[in-house]
Amino acid sequence: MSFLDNLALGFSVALSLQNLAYCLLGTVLGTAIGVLPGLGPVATISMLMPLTFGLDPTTALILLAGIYYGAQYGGSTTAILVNLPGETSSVVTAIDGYQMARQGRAREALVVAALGSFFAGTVGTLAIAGFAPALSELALGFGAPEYFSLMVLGLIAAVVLAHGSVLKAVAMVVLGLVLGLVGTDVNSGVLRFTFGISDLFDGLDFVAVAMGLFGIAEVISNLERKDEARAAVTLGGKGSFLLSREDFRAAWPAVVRGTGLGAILGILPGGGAILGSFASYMLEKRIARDPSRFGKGAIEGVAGPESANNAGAQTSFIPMLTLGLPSNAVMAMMIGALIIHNIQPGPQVMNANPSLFWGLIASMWIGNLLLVILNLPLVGVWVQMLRIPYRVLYPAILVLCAIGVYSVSNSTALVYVMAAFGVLGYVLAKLQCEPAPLLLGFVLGPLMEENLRRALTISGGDASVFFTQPVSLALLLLAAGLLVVMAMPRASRLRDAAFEEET
Amino acid sequence: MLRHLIRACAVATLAVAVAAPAVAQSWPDKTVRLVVPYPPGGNVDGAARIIAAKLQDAFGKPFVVENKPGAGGMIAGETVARAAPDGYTLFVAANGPLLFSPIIFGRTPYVWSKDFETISSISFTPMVLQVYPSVPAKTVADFIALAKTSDPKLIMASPGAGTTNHLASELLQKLAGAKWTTVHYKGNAPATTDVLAGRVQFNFDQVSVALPYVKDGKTRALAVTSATRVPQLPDVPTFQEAGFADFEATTFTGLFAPAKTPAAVVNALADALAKILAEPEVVERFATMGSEARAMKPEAFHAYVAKLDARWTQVIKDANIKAE
Repeated sequence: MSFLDNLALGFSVALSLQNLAYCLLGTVLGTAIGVLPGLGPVATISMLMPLTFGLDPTTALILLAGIYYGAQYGGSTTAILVNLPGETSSVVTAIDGYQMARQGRAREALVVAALGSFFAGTVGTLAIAGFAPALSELALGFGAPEYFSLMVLGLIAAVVLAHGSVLKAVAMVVLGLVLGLVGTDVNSGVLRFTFGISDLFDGLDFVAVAMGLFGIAEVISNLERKDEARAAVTLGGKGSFLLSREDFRAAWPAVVRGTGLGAILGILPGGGAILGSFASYMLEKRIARDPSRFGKGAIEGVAGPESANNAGAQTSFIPMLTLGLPSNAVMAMMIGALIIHNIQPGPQVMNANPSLFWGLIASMWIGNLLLVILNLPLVGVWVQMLRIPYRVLYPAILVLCAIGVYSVSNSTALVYVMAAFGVLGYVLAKLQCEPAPLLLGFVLGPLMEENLRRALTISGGDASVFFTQPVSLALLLLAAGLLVVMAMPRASRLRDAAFEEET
Repeated sequence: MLRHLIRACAVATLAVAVAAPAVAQSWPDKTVRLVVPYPPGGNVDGAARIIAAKLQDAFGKPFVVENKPGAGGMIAGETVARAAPDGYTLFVAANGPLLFSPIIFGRTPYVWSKDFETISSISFTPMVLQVYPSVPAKTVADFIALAKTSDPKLIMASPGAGTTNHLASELLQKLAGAKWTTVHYKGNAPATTDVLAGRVQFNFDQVSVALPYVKDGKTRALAVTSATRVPQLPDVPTFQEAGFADFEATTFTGLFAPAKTPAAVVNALADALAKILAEPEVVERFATMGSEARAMKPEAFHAYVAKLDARWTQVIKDANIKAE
């Protein structure tokens, strides 16, 4: 069958009344849980899974997929409005999105997030439809040496995330690395920094750490401001529904780049989707004419990462659909749902169940369209949230965070972790240290260590694998290049300073 | 979210009602919690969800699955071990949380034979030894011979230290007198990925996971770890057929209750499970997950777990697998 026949089959399946209804239900639910901080797609899907047993497998998958990418969509809303990333992937969006909201540009931030996500979703869907089998080879081609080199590149680039002192950024990355060590070492099974507390055996939970550092810390910081100070935040928007010409011109190249990066990183099993939004932010900041705008409400800083995370959400289906390998917890649950319907995800799904495969893909595009239609009018409603007085909004946020974090693994321990990181986040804010590089170190550090040791075990201790594998070598060269570029202006400035002292 | 609130209320109520002695005749008169030691999605969770729905039909009260992952399942185990023995908190356990994790983490918040009542087994899940197609070995004997002579050593991908997959590999090394390199991954997906890519030579994988790869020629199955052949792979011999009479490594799931739960409740649950697990629809559901549904009476199941405990404790000690 040709590509067009496949798509036609897919749309004929996805446009049936039942499938369309479940797609809508999934995206609405997904948006809702995305908006609620901490309550993520994993908890929601696990609760809804029993309901899907009675459905046709294609319909079940369409519903679950809708919840997943709907949540990626909704997660940006609270990140922008109240600095509370609803999903792990919207941590980066919070950096510039929240600053835009504080400058009265919440509407623009939300619109650019919605449009960027839609573009990314469309491209991501097309990528799956056109190249899924070929792209699955990419997932297989990424072994331990390649992951290690990718993490090196990521960590070096993490310093770019910060907009203040480089020294503080490095310190934050290192602190993140250390926090990432807590838990059971994957390679040997040894416990590290757990102090005999079994709740720490699996390490610190990313959601709890991120919500503490961003959301809770923000609430604490705001307690010391007067209510009037916040009233100065205007709602902005001047009634125009879409973006101004300048905003559009600044945003669209970032959207395209973010989509590309996110789509590629999303295919990689193991943290690819989170990397996408970080990578896009770093790229935008690196190539911007004036990098100092970042962290102070740059629209590219919202457009790029939001597109990247949505593109990644789509392409992370590729390893699941073509190889039966889950790239994250949500995909693992979808595999569970398919198995219950007696479909074993794997290389044969595309040929054995074409209507399921293509129907799901077509539904993902329809779902993205529904999300835009749904969310653009809602932007006005969300922005009104900023009118809610602090004394009402903040207790509500705290309660929602606590419920959301508890639901991650039905454990009160995570609520304590979140509270502790809330305090840490407040202290860091006082010291003008930024939490984003810390989080990146926290995510990448353990992955880097795990893959370094695995690569060396597999190669029998021969470190040359990092340089003989072409992809790994390319990534390391890129990292080295980035180091040089970062060091150069600094070096010249130092030289100037030295010169001044002499004369 | 409402579900969570209700659940939270249920937990609170339970905590308040700790002292109330269970009246076995009226059990169950409220929601029963089935605590699962893993996140949603795996085969233990799947087993719990299948039986939860059926127990709910049988007893007319809600049976709610509660996932409490963490510390190799010990967080869930500890929760149940400390819960009131009134039949309202039950543990859907497997080999790992019950037997392996306490030894591996060197922490014993519970001892299965003292802190839990065995109710019934639920299901048994076999594994298969699969190799990357370019590995020359076609039989287990070839494979062992290859493992003994190859330099550098063969590499086995494990989904984590102390998993049944890892311990099966240790048991085989012990019985065969061979040695290979073990590389641990964070979960089964990345481990399987490296086997499919040929970066490592083999792994032990659940039959349901490996089946599509074996059928597609992406891996080759050498032997299954159960005592009898599995229906999905009729041509693949068992390790026992291949000359390892003492080799058996299947994952069991079973239902447990806190120690001192009234015998009437334990027996009522055991009888209900015996009926449920014999229903053709349930057998079929477990078969699609690559598992065999099979109930055992409380005493028989207790003896079975005790036998496994003795065998695997020795394997773990011999292989010196420890978290500290």
